[in-house]
Amino acid sequence: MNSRLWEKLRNKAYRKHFVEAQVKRQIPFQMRALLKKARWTQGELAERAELTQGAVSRALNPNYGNLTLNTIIHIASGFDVAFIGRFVPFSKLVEEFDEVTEELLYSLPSFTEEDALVTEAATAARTFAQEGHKPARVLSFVKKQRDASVGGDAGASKLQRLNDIPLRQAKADLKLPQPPAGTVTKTEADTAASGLGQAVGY
Amino acid sequence: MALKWRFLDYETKDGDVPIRDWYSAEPGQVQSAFDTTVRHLSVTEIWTVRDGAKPLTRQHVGLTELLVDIDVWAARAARGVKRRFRPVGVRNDDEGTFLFLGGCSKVGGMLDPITAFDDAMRRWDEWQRGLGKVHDHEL
Repeated sequence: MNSRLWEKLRNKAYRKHFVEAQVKRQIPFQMRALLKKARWTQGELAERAELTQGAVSRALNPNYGNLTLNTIIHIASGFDVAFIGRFVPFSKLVEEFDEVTEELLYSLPSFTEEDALVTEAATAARTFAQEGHKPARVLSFVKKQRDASVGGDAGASKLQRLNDIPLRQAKADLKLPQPPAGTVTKTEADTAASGLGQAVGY
Repeated sequence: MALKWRFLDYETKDGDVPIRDWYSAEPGQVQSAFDTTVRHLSVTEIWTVRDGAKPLTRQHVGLTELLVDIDVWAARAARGVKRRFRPVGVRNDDEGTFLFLGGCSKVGGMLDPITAFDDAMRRWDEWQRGLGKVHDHEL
């Protein structure tokens, strides 16, 4: 917890405007990072988002501040990502404030990227489970590969939550009938896990 | 958190911290917009005007102003009034630091206080001559 920021939040006026600053400035900040990641121009985003370039340009300006929900929804669609606007406790906002990094945003997958991960992880998990590998071993490698993909950075916890999707999918698929214990050799498990690791790697 | 830039506050030889004095005199709306801008810049590798930073020119070459604009809304007003604030300092690309030297507001083309950028240049000169000290800027 950022104790100095928390101290400032004890002031009601600061608290109100901190929320305002986060709402108004976080979206342009995210948009700039996502544009860099995609290597798109404003015009390309405008086309994908079905907006005018002027609307995208205004949305990218952290000092504009009059973004409508409709524009945000169009922009999310342009990047093929989701958008969550919801009321949260201040501790959550402080957590987000402290965690934000460009790298985290670069790692934000589009739906297509996520869907490929989910499908591959599910297929791999099902295959290895049916081949008789121990579920714990398979899951361990899914998790290991996922953690490696975020580079061990402190800000990666949020990304890890995003990446929990393939892990959850793998767990779900591993609820298949399990083979008797002790049927897997170390070499087989390693081979299987290695293949799964490649399947879920970004 | 992966910070790319470290923000510092300059303290004059008389013990004044100009950015702190400017900050504490501003209302919560300006403070929170400033804090958010600094936080985002601290993790942004390359700064552009859109990121909220602009190098100054002419007699203030070497300084960079941060662009903190806010809309002030009167009760039941149809639209807000734009107000512009300009914390100013020196960016050191080699060290990955930004040293705050002061702050001001901007109305039209005029600064308030009008000597804000000149004062920042003077403080920068003092710092280069070994006067004063710096502290980490705390968010």
